[in-house]
This record gives sequence, C-alpha cells and structure tokens, in this order.
Amino acid sequence: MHTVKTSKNSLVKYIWKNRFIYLILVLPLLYYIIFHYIPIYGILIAFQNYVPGRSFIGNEWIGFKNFGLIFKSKPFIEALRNTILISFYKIIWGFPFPIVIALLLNEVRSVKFKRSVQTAIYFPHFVSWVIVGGILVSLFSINDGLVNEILKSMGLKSINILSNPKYFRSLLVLSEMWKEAGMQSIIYLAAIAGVDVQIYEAAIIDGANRWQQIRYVTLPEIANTISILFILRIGSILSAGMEQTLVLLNPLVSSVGENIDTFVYKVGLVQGDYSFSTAVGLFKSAVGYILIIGSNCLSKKLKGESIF
Amino acid sequence: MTSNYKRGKLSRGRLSLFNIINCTMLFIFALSAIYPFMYILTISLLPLEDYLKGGPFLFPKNVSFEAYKQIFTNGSIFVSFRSSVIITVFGTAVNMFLTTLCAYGLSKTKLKGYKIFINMIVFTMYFQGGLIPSYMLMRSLKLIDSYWAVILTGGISTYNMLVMRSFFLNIPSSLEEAAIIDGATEPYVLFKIILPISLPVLATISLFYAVGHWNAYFTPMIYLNTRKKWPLQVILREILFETTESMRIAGETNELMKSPIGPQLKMATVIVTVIPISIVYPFLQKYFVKGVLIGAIKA
Repeated sequence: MHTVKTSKNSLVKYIWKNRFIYLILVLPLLYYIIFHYIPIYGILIAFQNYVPGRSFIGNEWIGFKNFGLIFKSKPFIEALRNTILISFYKIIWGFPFPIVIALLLNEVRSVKFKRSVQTAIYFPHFVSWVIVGGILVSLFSINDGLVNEILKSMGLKSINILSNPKYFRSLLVLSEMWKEAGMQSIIYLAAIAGVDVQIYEAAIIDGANRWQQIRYVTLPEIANTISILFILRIGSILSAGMEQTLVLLNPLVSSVGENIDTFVYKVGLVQGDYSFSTAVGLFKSAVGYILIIGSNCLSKKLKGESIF
Repeated sequence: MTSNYKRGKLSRGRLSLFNIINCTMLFIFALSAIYPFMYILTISLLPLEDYLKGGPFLFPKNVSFEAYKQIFTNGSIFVSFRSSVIITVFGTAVNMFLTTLCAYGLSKTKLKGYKIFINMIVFTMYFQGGLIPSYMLMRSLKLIDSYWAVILTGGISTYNMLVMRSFFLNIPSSLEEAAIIDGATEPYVLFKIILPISLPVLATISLFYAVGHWNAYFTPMIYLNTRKKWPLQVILREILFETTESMRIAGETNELMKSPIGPQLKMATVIVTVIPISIVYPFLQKYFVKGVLIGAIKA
C-alpha cells in the first residue's frame, strides 16, 4: 500500500516536473483523439442500422449484415474490380517510370540541363487535379481540344478521349504518371547519389560501359529503396486515385472508372446510405492495413528491410 | 552532386550516342510537362476572331487580354479567390501551430508515455475511420459549411509532423542542456533557441501545407455548401466539367461562361489559379527536395 502511494506520488512529481512538454502535447493529442479516433469509433455504424440524423450511438445492431450486402452489390463489385485493375495498371506503368527518369537524369553530364529538366518535371506535382483536369480538357476535348483540332486539320475524324470507356483507364494511368513521376524520381536520385563512387570506378576499370554500370552497379545498389517504395505502393492498392477520378469521371465512363473511394462518396454523401458506405470504407481500410503489415513482414523476412 | 562530378570526369563524355538519346528523351519529357501550361496560356490569350477561324492554336499569334478583363470586371472570381486565401492562410497557421507542438513534444523520446503517444499517432497513418464517420463528426460538431471543417480535417499531417520531428531530433541536446544550466526556462528554450534555428524546416512544412490547402478541392466541396465560400478549385471544377446542359437544369449557370469567349475564360481561370503556385514554385522546389528526403529516411 505504502509503495503504491509513493510511486503514485513520484509519477505526479514526474509529470509536474515535465509539465511543459505534457502541456505542449495536450492539444495535438486532443486533435488525434477527436479527428482520428472518434471517426475510427464511428466505424461502428457499419454494424448498425443507422437512422439518418442520429449520432453513432443508439442504433439497432445488425452485425455483419452490411458486409454481406456489400458483396452482393453489383456496383460495389464493379468499383472493386475497377480499383484493383486501375491500381494494377498504375503500378505496372507508373512504378518503374520514375526509376527510369532518375537513371536517365543521373547520366546527364550538364548540370544546367539536368536542373532545367528537373524544374520542368517537378512542376505538375504542385498543381491540383482540377488544374490537370483543365489541361486534359484543353488537350482532348471533343469540341476544341488540341488533339482533335490537329486531327481535324489533317482531315481525320475527331475522337472522344475523355468520355470513352476504351480510353478512360489509360487516361487515369497516364495523367497520374505525367503529374507525379517527376516528383517520385527525387527519392531514387537521392539513392543513386548515395552510391559509393569507388564501385563505379572499379566497374569502369573492369571495362563496364554506361549501360552495364546501370545494370550491375546502380540498380542493385538502389534495390532496397525500390523495394521499400514498392511495399508502400502495394499497401495503397485499394486507393486508385480519389480526387483524380472524381474530377475526370462522367456518367459515360463510370462503369470503368468508378473506384472504391468515389463509390463511398457517391453512396454515402450523395445518396445518404451511411451504414453501407461506412462498411465499404472499413473494408478498404482493413484490407489496406493488412496489406501494409503483411508486405512489411514479408520484406523483413526476405531482405531484413522494413519500413517500421 | 560530387559523385556525379567525379563520374563525369571518369567517363569524360564526348557527344556519344548514349548522351544524345538520353538528353532527347529527357527533353521530350520535360517539354511534355511544361507545354500543356503554355498551351492553356495560349488559349486564354486567344482573340475571338482567331478562335472563330478555328485552330489548332499551338502558339499565340495575336494576343487579347479580353478574357482576363472579363474575369476581373465580373468579380465573382474574387469571392472564390478570397475563400482560397482564407482557407490557405488560416489553415496553414492552424497546421503549423499543432504540428510544431506535436513534433516538439514527440522529440522528447525519453518522456514517460512517449511510446504510447507515438504509436497512437503513427497508427492513424495506416488506419482511418474513413469519409462517412469523419463527415458525421463534423456534422455533430456543427461545423458543416464552416471553414473550420476544412481547416481541421487535416489539422496535423502525420507525415509532415514526423519530418519536423526528425529535424528537432537532430538538434544537438547539448544546446538545450547548456541553456537550462544557464537558467533558461523550457518555454524560453523552445521559443528562443529551438524554433529560431528550425526556421528552414518550419518554412518548408508551411509551404507543404499552404500548397495542399490551395489545391484542396474534395474537402471544401463536401464540407462547404454555400457557394460564396467555395474556393477557386471547387468553382474551377464546376466551370470546367459541368456541361452547359446540366448547369442550365441546375439553374446554377455561371453567367460568365455563357460569353462567346467561354473557352478563353475557362483557361484564363485555370491560369489565375496556377499563378500563386508558380510564384512560390522556386521555393517549393528548393525545399521540397529536402523535405522528401528527410521524410524518406525517417518515416
């Protein structure tokens, strides 16, 4: 009894001694509790029959019924399929692209040229998807887009790129590569800059040409960076681009472009089915969490590398 | 940079085929990143006569500022510009206040409870409540249609906070200990010693936040109902993507876009929205590279 009291006293003393730091942390911790943990608690409505206008509490419990409904819902299956396909294409094309850019940039000898290219290719990252949407309209619009103007002036038929299901996924993949690849190359450039020059010197003495240096020195040396970023990318496979899709999506292409995020927005906020769309959101969060933990464990086992 | 210089010396490059192909590819990519912006500028400056003749308009031949004049005399753009500025300025201020407190507090790794705090915070990077519970929270806080909803939604970006924290961790602790021995109080240490030498990282993180707020479109779209409160991005999306048909049905037609130079007006609005970003871009580029690297190493 006595010891408990003293340890309590010493804890109080400890906190009082460090009161400034604890005081500093009060607001941020409150922020996380209110704006992150209350919504996490709010996930409970996925297991309830939520009545609009109520709060998280006092609704009828229906267990996993919503999750059964999810997998019977055709629009959800379609959105899930689109999400996975689009993410898959984005990884296949978009993941290697910044690595290629970094490798190419690294081979440039003129510092001025390198700087100018970097200045140009980083810029699109800093504009919003709405602006990128404006650019795509100006380039591809059926009425007066640049591409169709050129086709018309050559006497060819104009093509509807923005609302044709055939092109829409490619449009998503390419526009994201256009916007983000330059920026993503930074991290690889840094990794390449960290490679020991002596390895290159040795390779050159062994008669390695530029291509062989890339293949046998640079790539193996940055393999760890690549695998860490790959893990992170896999973890977000169920995010196929919320703002991007919402800006570009139109009814003509929603069958190929609707993804889980835009589906949650549409069903939840537009149509007002809170419980169902929260269940969809929980499904997404849970799968994402399992993926990132799983792939992290895998990489720990395989290479001794982990992101945590 | 040094490694490049040395390698350059080693394989002192004549104009090899490798170099030519490499630079051509990079040049094409760089051009493709920049040309669309030039094209939009071209369209926004296109005089009506030229537009009616039909294009393609690859480069501006004649220049007319009519579209810009109409935008600014109509004035509705100022309303959304003002919203964008309010969200950006106040949002960034709130972000910086909370982020700095959090990052500094968590840089004290020996503090009792530290493990709990950091795990609790990092967990939110990987698992979120999602859109609907967040929306319901804002509704029960009566923040719908208030700028506060937009500002508080991303009050602390955990990623940015960790970048800042890693900067604080790298400050030698001897600096603080010496000041404490000299009788400085903890607030004095934070405000007079730590924050002044952290100005570069504070500037970097504020830029990240400011650009994020300026570009945000989804959050203001869902939380702000009053048209007058909509920032530029939300208005711009409406102008660009709502077809004239649906606007007529909705009765929300933006009067300006009925003008014969509608396309020029659209593109001029895009340019006006991009200009603030272009102005801070030199700083962004300089600091962003650093921020990405610190983040990549530590996160």
